[in-house]
Amino acid sequence: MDEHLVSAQNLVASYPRLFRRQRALRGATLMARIGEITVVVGPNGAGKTTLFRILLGFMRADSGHCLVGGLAPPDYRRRHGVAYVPEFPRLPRGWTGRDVLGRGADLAVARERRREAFVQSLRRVALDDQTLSKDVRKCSHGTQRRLWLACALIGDPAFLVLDEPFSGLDPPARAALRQEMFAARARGAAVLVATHDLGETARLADRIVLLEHGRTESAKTLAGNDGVSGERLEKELFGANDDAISGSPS
Amino acid sequence: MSSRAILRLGGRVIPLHKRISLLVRSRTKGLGGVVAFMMLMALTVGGNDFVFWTAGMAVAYIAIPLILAADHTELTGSDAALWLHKPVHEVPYVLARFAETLAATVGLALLFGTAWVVSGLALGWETVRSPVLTLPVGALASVAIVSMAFGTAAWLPRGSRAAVVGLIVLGHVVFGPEISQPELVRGGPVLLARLVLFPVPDILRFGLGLTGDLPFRIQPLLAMLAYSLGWIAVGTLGIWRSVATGRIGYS
Repeated sequence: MDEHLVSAQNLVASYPRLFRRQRALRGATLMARIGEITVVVGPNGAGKTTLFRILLGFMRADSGHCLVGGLAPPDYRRRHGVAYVPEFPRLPRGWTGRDVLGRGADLAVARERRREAFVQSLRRVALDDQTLSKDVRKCSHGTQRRLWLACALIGDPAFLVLDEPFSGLDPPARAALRQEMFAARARGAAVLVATHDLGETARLADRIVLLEHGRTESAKTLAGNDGVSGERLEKELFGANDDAISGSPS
Repeated sequence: MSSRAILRLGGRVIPLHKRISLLVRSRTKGLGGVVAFMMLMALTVGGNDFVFWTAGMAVAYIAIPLILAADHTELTGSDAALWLHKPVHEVPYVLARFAETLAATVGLALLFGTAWVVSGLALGWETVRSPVLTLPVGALASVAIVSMAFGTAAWLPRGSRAAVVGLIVLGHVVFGPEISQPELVRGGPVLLARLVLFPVPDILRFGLGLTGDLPFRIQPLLAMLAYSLGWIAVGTLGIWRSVATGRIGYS
């Protein structure tokens, strides 16, 4: 297989509105390699979530070319599954954390490995018994996000799509999430992350893709997370001047 | 849960009966409202007025499927994204989920109906035959309503329950209290109404056939089942369309 798990070129996509279509992507291109973390950055409304929805096979592009693992995105998802964490994860009311992870194991893993996958997911989410037995809608935002992530990672999918995954997480949970991403990368998964947090981007990214107004403006490869800071990234990607970064008056 | 227990339950960590109980648990508030309504009816109407009791039960038979039915967001929208990124095909997955809803609806309709009849008997009903025979009618009506809710939710991003209530009300308005209306099956618009609107004449004919007030015939039962299957087909088509046009996981 090509070392690119994801190959998306010149994607154009729009949403239907009452009398017109609202364009969300105007030629986005993205390549995500196996065993790499690709971070997509860009301002609000740049089209990051739309791009992810197309790569997941939830949405169709109006034009352009997109393959995941050599298949059309919906076919890849149906055959292999994708670990997906949306920007605003909503878990089902009345379910406990255990129920969510159990159902995730039922859907993601073959019968003989379900129990093992379920137990592994309980270990991965690292929540106490009381929290795991609570109605998930009564858990904090960060806990819900952790549960969704643990559910998404059941079965160790080879393609991770994480939309603003650090939102609402405390520092230990952020560190745990980073470790999950590094572990996924180490086992050869392609990890795709959208975030506004350039500090996290600097820590994580093997490649950075800048999306603006629905177009890929630039793609940058970082050589082994070579200690580049978030401030430097901001300067390089968005052209912010040093004074603005340091906060001193110009 | 032990591995032995998992194997005993067909290899699922969350087996079917647990999924159905989770569905019911997720609707506790709404179902609690139905219980409160029925208790209020029991306290205010008393045990002797069969008509009011039947009306109270009818409200429950309509409310239960509407409460349990999934809306668009749960079928293919943002709430469904939790499961739809797994290696599953969307249409069979959503149909399996609908089957769970159907089972929960029939189970709860029979449970509520039985509780209602037992309460009525305790409060002074003299005969048990007619009230008991309303149970299959109610269950059948609930099946029709939950199928309508599935059919509308698959197409309408919002307001599917309101649309179902509208179709039920319109069914009563158009068909009225008439039981046998052979002229209704003639003419295009009326035939369309029979296909779309809640089948009040069939329900009445089926119920009165059971109680012996009309000769029992199988046609009303078949008509109601066909009506429900029609709405399930409409819903399946709606899900298929959402999948084919790439409109899932988002609301």
